[in-house]
Amino acid sequence: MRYQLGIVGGGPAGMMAALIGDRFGIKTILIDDNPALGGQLIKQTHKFFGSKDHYCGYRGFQIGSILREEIAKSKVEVITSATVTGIYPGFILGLHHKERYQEVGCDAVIVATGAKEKFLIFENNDLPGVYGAGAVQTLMNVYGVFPGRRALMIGSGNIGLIVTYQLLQAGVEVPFLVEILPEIGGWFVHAAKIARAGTRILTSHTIISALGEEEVEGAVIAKVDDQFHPVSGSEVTIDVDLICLAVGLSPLSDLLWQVGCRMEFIPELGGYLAWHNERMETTVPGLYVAGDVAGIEEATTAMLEGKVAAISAVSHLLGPSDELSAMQREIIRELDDLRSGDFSQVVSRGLRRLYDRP
Amino acid sequence: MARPFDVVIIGGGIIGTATGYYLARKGLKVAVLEKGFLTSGSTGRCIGGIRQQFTTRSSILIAMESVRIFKTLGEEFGFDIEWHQGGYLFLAHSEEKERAYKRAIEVQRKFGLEVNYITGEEAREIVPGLNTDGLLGAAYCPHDGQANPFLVVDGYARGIKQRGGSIFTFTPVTAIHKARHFRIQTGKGDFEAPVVVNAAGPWVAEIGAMVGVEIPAQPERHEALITERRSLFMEPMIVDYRPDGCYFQQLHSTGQLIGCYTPDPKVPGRDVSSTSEFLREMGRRMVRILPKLGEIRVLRQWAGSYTMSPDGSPIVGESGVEGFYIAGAMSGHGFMFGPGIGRCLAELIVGNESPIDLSEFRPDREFVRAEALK
Ligand SMILES: Cc1cc2nc3c(=O)[nH]c(=O)nc-3n(C[C@H](O)[C@H](O)[C@H](O)COP(=O)(O)OP(=O)(O)OC[C@H]3O[C@@H](n4cnc5c(N)ncnc54)[C@H](O)[C@@H]3O)c2cc1C
Ligand SMILES: Cc1cc2nc3c(=O)[nH]c(=O)nc-3n(C[C@H](O)[C@H](O)[C@H](O)COP(=O)(O)OP(=O)(O)OC[C@H]3O[C@@H](n4cnc5c(N)ncnc54)[C@H](O)[C@@H]3O)c2cc1C
Repeated sequence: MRYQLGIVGGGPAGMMAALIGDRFGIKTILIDDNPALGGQLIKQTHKFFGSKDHYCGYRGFQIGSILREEIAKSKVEVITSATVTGIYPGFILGLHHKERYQEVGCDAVIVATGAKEKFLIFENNDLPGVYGAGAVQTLMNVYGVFPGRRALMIGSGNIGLIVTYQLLQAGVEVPFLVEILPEIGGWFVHAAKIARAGTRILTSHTIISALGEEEVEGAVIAKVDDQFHPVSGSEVTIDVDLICLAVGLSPLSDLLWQVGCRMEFIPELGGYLAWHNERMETTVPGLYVAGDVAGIEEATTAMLEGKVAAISAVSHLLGPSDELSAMQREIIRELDDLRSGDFSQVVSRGLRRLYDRP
Repeated sequence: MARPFDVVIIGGGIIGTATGYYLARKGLKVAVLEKGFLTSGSTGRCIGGIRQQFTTRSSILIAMESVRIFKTLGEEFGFDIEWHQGGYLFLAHSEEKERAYKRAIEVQRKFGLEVNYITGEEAREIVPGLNTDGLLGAAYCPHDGQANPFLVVDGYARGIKQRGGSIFTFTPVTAIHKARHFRIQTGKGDFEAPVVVNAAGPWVAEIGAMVGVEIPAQPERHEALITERRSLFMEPMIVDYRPDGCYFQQLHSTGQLIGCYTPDPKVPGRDVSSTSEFLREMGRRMVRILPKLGEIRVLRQWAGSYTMSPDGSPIVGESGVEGFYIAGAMSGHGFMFGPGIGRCLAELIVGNESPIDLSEFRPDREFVRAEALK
């Protein structure tokens, strides 16, 4: 089996890239390890922020469905429940699919594998009942399973705030949310919503340990000083059976290390990622990145990056053209606009640092 | 100012650390210089097999010496090195192989190795589920085994430090000058010693060239893989020397299966990238030997170097440059030979006779008598 374009990861970035490839008549295959396309979107029940042009007002899972339907109508070949385990010389993608090892050869590859959740170090952090926010969302919103009855949320970024709200909506109590910084990280609207629902947001606080033998039966939290060290004597034991970590994401870049991309550490973008330019080209010719794996941002930017990466791949495959570069420039401009707001300052700084590295 | 030592060892793999350990035990002040981290060369990429079934005298003896050492090494270090004596089983699928194994066994027995030629059925008793189609028999030595290369190197390295030696990681040797003593230039300053041991694995020839010593060693890529865990069901390393054969064993410590094969054609050079072909082929070859492995998943794959000499035996001893010792071109057996070679080389360096006759490994040999069980 040989394809012109192989796309790893069927989240918003990968799906959008596949649609662009298809639009230019490129023989495209889209591979995702979940049973259905959509990536993070399938578990997002909240209304999206962002501009009108970018599905603002839709709920995440609805955007996922729209893209999925467009892909179903296209000639894009889709393999789900397939994990790409390696990208080998000649762009042979090795996949683990239906308990077998398979190979798919491609002329160009877009890696759009998204992100993985960061973890925290504290005593007993391996007890059942300690979850990442993504896992909590998957359990509740995809499978309809209660992750617990009484939760401690850790981290007040938008993900921590939104998942707290989703827990409350599902009927899980969330008495406390702790945040080690002196200020709430996410948007005020989200924070206000959960505060109204009764969650106490404790800034300058962290978790010290999880309690329990077989599973989480409680947690110890404490105040921190301005050096982020716990203040002794301020420990409080709380009664929870779920500890949910929403302490950030980092690019899921294993395949990019393996394929030999030059990697850069850019904390503003979530950690290690493949060096790339505005056209989403990496240091490996014919290999592109898009979405969270190219720096942690959001679904709107992931979709635009998917388009940019696909246009680069199309130019690589069919040869450059004025039409393609004009189209690409236009999308890069849109991305710049989206990133001009206050909330994108950190990302913009990270991207500048990345682009500045030759 | 160069830092003075009695012996400077280049290379932090099994050979460098074992040699350093036995020298430090004799009271010498040793430094091990390693350009990456310990085990970052071939040693951390090997599959941990330890056998004594060879066809040439020095190889058989050094392997037997190593097994004697491995047996008590854990006690010596004060921690488990995951040594397990599960044996090695060489499968014979042709009359030619059968004859070769029987000849080898005769030689091995002369040196006191307990090894037998067994039938396919007997082999199947040792490895339940073994595919005996076309299997004529097997050479079996129950006294071969396995150990964990990371733990062994760690033990040797700790031992060196406990005896006043030093280990410098991320310290690449860039040049060596010979005056009265050797002056070894590195990315982190100069070192000085009357004796240098070149244990640089795949880079052994490059280090030799720094003092004008030519070493006929050629690195070749060998790929490997490891599977998920299973409860213990097989003891020995299985060796299938058919052109499309492979070697694998179950790690006694974790239950994982670990294995590799020798590619045909060879892949010369120090490239250690992995291929899809290996993953596919290795799976097929393992399952052909043991069909029940079909349902086990591969966890990881990687590649490393076999550093080959022209005759398939190591190159060990003092070179033409006085005080410059070579311990390289382990030809795929450096882990199992490491303890024995380290101990013998330490004796040579302090001016004693080697407890094992290493003449077949001499750097100035003719490279004519090939080791048959490479
Ligand atoms: C709680 C929460 C709320 C959010 N809210 C918003 C919001 O309101 N607005 C907004 O714009 N953004 C929001 N985001 C961010 C947004 O979801 C992500 O930025 C976006 O999904 C990233 O898209 P992506 O395509 O890069 O990655 P993903 O959506 O993560 O998709 C990557 C896909 O690749 C698959 N994959 C990974 N590795 C492999 C492999 N080796 N083989 C095969 N498949 C693989 C993954 O399983 C996944 O399906 C939110 C995120 C979270 C967690
Ligand atoms: C897939 C595979 C399976 C194997 N299986 C087995 C097995 O089952 N049993 C067995 O006995 N053997 C096995 N081997 C072979 C074994 O790994 C080697 O023979 C052994 O590790 C060699 O050890 P060494 O110390 O000579 O070399 P290495 O471990 O390569 O050590 C040499 C060190 O020198 C360092 N170095 C190089 N240049 C410099 C410099 N300029 N300055 C400073 N440091 C430098 C390197 O970084 C390296 O760490 C296997 C090999 C492979 C690849």
